[in-house]
Amino acid sequence: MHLRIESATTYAYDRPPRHSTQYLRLTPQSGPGQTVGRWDISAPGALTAWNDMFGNRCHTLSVERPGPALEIAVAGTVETRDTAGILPPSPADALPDAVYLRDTGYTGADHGIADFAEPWRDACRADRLAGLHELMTAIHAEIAYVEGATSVLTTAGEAFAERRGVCQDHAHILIAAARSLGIPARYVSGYLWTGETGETGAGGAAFSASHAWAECRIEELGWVSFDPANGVCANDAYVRVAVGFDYATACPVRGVRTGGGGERMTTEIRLFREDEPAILQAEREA
Amino acid sequence: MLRGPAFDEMTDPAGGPRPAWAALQSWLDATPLDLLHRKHGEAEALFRRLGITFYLYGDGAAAERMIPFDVLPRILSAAEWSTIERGCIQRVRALNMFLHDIYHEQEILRAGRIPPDLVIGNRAYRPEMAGVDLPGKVYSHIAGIDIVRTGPDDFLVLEDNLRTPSGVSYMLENRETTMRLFPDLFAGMSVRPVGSYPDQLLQNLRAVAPPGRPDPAVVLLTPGRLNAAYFEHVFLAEQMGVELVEGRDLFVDGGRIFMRTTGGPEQIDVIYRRIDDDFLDPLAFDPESVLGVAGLLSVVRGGGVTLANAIGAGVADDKAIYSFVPEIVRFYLGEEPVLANVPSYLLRNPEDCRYVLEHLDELVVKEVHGSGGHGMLIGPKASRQEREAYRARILADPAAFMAQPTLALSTCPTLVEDGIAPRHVDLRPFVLSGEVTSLVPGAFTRVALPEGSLVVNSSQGGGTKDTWVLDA
Repeated sequence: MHLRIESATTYAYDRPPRHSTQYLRLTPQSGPGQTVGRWDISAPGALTAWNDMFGNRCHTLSVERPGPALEIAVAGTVETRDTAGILPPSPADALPDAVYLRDTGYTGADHGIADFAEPWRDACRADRLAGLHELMTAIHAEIAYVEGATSVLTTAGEAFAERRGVCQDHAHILIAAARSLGIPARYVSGYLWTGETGETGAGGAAFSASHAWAECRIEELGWVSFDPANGVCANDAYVRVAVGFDYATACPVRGVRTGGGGERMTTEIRLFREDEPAILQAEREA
Repeated sequence: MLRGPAFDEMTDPAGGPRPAWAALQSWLDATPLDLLHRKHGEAEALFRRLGITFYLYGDGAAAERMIPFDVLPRILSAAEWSTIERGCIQRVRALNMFLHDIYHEQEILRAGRIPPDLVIGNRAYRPEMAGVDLPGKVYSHIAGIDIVRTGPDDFLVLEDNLRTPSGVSYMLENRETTMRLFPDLFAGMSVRPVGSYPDQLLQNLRAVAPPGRPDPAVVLLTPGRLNAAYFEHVFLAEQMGVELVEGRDLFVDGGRIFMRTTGGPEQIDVIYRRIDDDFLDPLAFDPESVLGVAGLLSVVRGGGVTLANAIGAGVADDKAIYSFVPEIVRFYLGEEPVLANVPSYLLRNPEDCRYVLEHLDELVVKEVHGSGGHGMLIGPKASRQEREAYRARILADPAAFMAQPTLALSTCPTLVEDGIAPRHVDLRPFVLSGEVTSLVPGAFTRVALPEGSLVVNSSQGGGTKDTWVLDA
């Protein structure tokens, strides 16, 4: 699938800050499931590229006196392929697998999640891939997709207790559950093409183009993606942008400001499928 | 080495002074006690005037107080010092190699010499540092090695402090003070000087600057005046002639760190940071931290600045890793450790746990991740209720604890209310690593002032002494 992606994150301030520093994880990298074409980030200050511990391509943005608004815009193209959600082991994986067993503030498995996951321990031991599929399906069925029920600060345990959340919460719950079974798991932030009904749209869930899912380590395969919000493994509708232990370490934009106040952040994302018949696209845009 | 009479550093079993102490003994014989008490008063006034204080953290607000200073120096012979020096250099070289390894190839884990989960599952292991190449491969530029003595030749390492060890200002200030109080005694004893410490530290810090900066700029980053060691931060910055800064004075731009000055931004190459890892960068670690510098981790990973000590050095001084340090020395250096460890029981091992629970009244039990003498059980001194309460804590999470025999720490003569009496001491020499690893001949000696006490921590009623290393 050939996708064109445009996104804009805007901070608006009632009282402009003196300084703003951001970590941006907005640059997808080519791999087995995707080839990145042209990719541009624009921001009102110097962007310094670096690679974080996961191998994500990051940028640090530092802006002195940004004024009343600060916009970070991304535009680019990605060619995606369906690899059944499998990402073979790569030399780019700098971290030992065991590090993905560590709890984080978002993904600490409380008793609720650990107890929920426990019945799949034997299944995962016998056949980790099949066991995780079942676990993902169970979480998909258990946790309702409800926009606005949770916030970016909600932990896996909190969302699980409420039995509802959005993709971030589903991903955190699966990660916490997998780790409680001794399976290394990580968070993926990216984009999801939702223009087609069918497989990825099943389950009645609503989608925003910005998406999050999980990857679990399966020895003989590598990292395998599981999207518990949709109950499927990733296919060519998914664009992987960054991975992390959880939302905090994988999120697209994370910033700190000094001074100022009354901050509002909005993100707008648009995906265009460039290889679909022009007529369909025209219909959708109309 | 277990309980028994403590080794008296000054007096031999026959009642005479050991050779290194002979001059001090005859000076003491000729000096009236009230003069010593008067000198003690002078020293206290001096410290108070200099503002050498220490914050004590309790449950509520911090209380500022002075660490008591004992006027009688502790003396180490040239031979004793040579053992300590060789042992500390060996240990810190090996620990720096270990740190480089676990953030790169992890050969020691592959070789099965340390259980991987002790390292990888450790909170102090910072995956953020994986694959980062540091100048000179140095992680702990300043290490404080806590040593106890149990016999004439028995110096044992109790703890490695590889993160932000404090106390060196006491080594330097105590020396200034004893020289001022007892100039004649000092002049007569050929004591090796410690005053070059700040210069050596600065030289090392400049040596580990990112390459390509001919005249690297160094700053000392403090959490601020409420920190227990704030006095030391001010003192060291002054002694080195570098800026003392707080997080808000620094910012990140273009892959570098800059300091805000009235004359405009100035690029900073090396940060001697006295802030814990968690607080260094709110975008990478604790998001609530206002002590650090947003974006700092990205500059560290990009090689645009050097932190001393490096992020993640603490995994090597964890009490669970401690028991593997002799193995670490053998693995990286192919040498036998010069300084032994205090034997330890890791309660994560069921046999150790069983033994410890059966011998709680003989052992010191500590939290694996604790520090500063808090949260520990001194078995022989604890009441039955205290031991039982501690037993419950152990049973709830055995892996969080380790235990050691109660050591008879050596004693040194100490001025007390009614004369001079032996008090238990430990020793913290400071090991500096840059292009080479070295020590200035001196240390921070801590003394447990209450009679019979074995706890030297300054937060628990410990005092300090000047430490004299003799030339010959």
